[in-house]
Amino acid sequence: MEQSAWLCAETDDAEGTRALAGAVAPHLGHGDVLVLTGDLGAGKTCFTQGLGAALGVTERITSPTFTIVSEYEARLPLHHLDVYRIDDPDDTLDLDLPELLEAGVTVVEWGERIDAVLPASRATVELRFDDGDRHPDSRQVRIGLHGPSWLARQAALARDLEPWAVPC
Amino acid sequence: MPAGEDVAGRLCLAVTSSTSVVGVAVGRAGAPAAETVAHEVATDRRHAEELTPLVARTLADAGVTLGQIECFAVDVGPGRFTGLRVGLATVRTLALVAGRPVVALSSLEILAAAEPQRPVLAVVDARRGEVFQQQFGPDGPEGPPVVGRPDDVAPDDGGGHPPVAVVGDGADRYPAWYGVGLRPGREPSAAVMVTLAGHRPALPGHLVAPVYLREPDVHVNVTTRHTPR
Amino acid sequence: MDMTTTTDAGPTPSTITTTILAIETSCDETSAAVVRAERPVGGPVTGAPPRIEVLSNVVSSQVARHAEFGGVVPEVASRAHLEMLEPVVGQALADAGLAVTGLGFDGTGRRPAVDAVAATRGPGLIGALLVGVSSAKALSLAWDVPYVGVNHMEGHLFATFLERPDIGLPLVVLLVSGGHTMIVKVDEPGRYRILGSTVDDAAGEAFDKVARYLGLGYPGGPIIDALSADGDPAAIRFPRGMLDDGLDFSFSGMKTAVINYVRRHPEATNPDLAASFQEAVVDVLVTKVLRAAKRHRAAAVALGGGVAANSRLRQRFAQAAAEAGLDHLVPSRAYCTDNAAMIGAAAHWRLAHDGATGLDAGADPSLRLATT
Repeated sequence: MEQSAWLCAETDDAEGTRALAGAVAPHLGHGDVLVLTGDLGAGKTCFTQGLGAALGVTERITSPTFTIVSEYEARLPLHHLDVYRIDDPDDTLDLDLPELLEAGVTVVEWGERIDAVLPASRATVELRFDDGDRHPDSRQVRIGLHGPSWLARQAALARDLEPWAVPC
Repeated sequence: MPAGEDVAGRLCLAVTSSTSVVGVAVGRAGAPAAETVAHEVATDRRHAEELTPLVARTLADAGVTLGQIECFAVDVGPGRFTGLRVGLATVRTLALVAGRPVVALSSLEILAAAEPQRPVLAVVDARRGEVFQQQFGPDGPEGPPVVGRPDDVAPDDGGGHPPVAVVGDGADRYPAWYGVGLRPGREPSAAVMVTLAGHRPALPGHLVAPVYLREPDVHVNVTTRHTPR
Repeated sequence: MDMTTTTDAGPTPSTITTTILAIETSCDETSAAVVRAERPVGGPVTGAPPRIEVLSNVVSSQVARHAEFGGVVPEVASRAHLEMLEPVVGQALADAGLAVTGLGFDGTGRRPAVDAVAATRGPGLIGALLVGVSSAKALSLAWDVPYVGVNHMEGHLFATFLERPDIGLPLVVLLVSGGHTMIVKVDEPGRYRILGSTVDDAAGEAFDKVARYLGLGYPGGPIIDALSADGDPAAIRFPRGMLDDGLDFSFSGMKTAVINYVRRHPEATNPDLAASFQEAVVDVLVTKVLRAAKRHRAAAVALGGGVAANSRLRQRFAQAAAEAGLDHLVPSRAYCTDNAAMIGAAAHWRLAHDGATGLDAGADPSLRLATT
């Protein structure tokens, strides 16, 4: 049975997206996977920066598109993947993903491209440009919680994301 | 496919790095595993760090120099990608310098060779919920290797009791499908590779490639399968 | 450590010549080079950059293999490196006149007159790095010569010394590639300070992503460079990310600005978009590297990295450095893009300064540049 729940939010600008991601961080543990989706420029790296800062990453988090994977030391190690260039999940075999996913928190930008090699238990974060007349920096954020482990965190997450919450 | 060279009786250096164990052995190709000098190291993601020093240590313990090695054997998978790259790059380079041929052995046949019982099912963990699997009878492989989820490929009799002996880290990981038939031998053994090398053709190093068993590389495996016993 | 192959004639040789085979496989170029340099015997390693003689520098590009994917695919890169490395190494030895036989290996126990083997150990794609590191360590073991693991970014810094060992110090280098954008102050070889770097995307990555968004293909840098020749760099005034703000860079917002612009002005032509975007990126890069040079009293400035092959950047950088009265180097394109000669140059200095790297060293995809 499909077990999913959704939380919807809106941020005014890049700072807001960082702050929202920071509010997600306290709810994370070893082995958690977050799949970020959204068009170029929607703020995926921005979200990861906010998340990393809240996890205690002191290094600068930059886009890992070039090396695909960046690893950061923190309270929980952060693995930052950007699979923008990968269209076939088999092309990730080189990365020894299973070992990577076990320890720490893994954030995968463009993760929908390698859906098959990521665990079903995951959070999805969709970042979208605002369709309406709002400022071009505003983003709609739709967070999907998939699997029992994430559903168990729904109420606590909803509480901490309250400042940005909008109806789904 | 070139016919290959018979290297039985020649001094052989064997390397396996397709799983979480890196192994190196030195001995006469075809000789029993007990007559080889072999070392292995368990490693998570440090195949590159472990392999070169292990080659040096095994050579030193065997009392031979690289220049005296007359052939090489390498585990070409299927298995872990990064491990395979380290093993292949190392052995191909050593073989090129030494001007000696290489015997390519599949991880599945190395595993099977360590187990006397026939038939035996060799199962290597392919990650993301899948295994590489191949069955071996008294006369060699019974069908090609396959990759798939244990519930699709395991020879299940309805209660997690495979009708054959089973070896490999893939079987170890999925006891519900393979547990009852499980025999010792989780990872390919370099010592067993030295034995096998006496019964397989050796090729120029640059013709030896990893077996991925994933599209688009399934065809690579054909060369292994047709290797005469 | 014995690595003497040739010394000056006479009873008391004053210099030692070291010949290094270097291997570079961090991304999508398989490269091998043989470099040679002299250094004083016994004495301390001085701060002066070594004078490196490049005996050979062979590069096999995989660009065509990756173009259909719109970028470098790790698995494809690793496999290609494994395939290409042996012929490329053989060619580098042959070009240097060091081959024992056609490919430099003949199994007779003789070996090429190489005193050390070096390889890029990071940063880069892990599978790609492992091919070069494993092969280099195997060569080191087989030939019984030292192995040297090299930081790719330090290699890019040493590319400057390949062409200008006499360049003024301290030197400020703008390193721009698909994976990096940083300004490095080089007080002398081995003593670096990162003055600024990107807070989000690398400049080359922004080129790639804008090119992909506009449907121009891969690699984005050269395509935008070529297309810009037919466009008006002043057609669209894109924002200059963090232009007035220190020495760090931000290209993500500039990339987003292009996307926003196209969404609102679908009639904009690709040449104008390309030229205007390129101008904005070059503006920021040139402004910041000159600012860094002034602020840190650099004696010279130089470019490095794949994006340094961009013709507009080369032109504007040379012009701005000349106007500021700064000694400067716009390196030849072959030493901007990834190449093993620069790895060999850095390896020569590292070997003299730190000695050999252990054979138990691996690859590090996230390796940072060691700073002082």
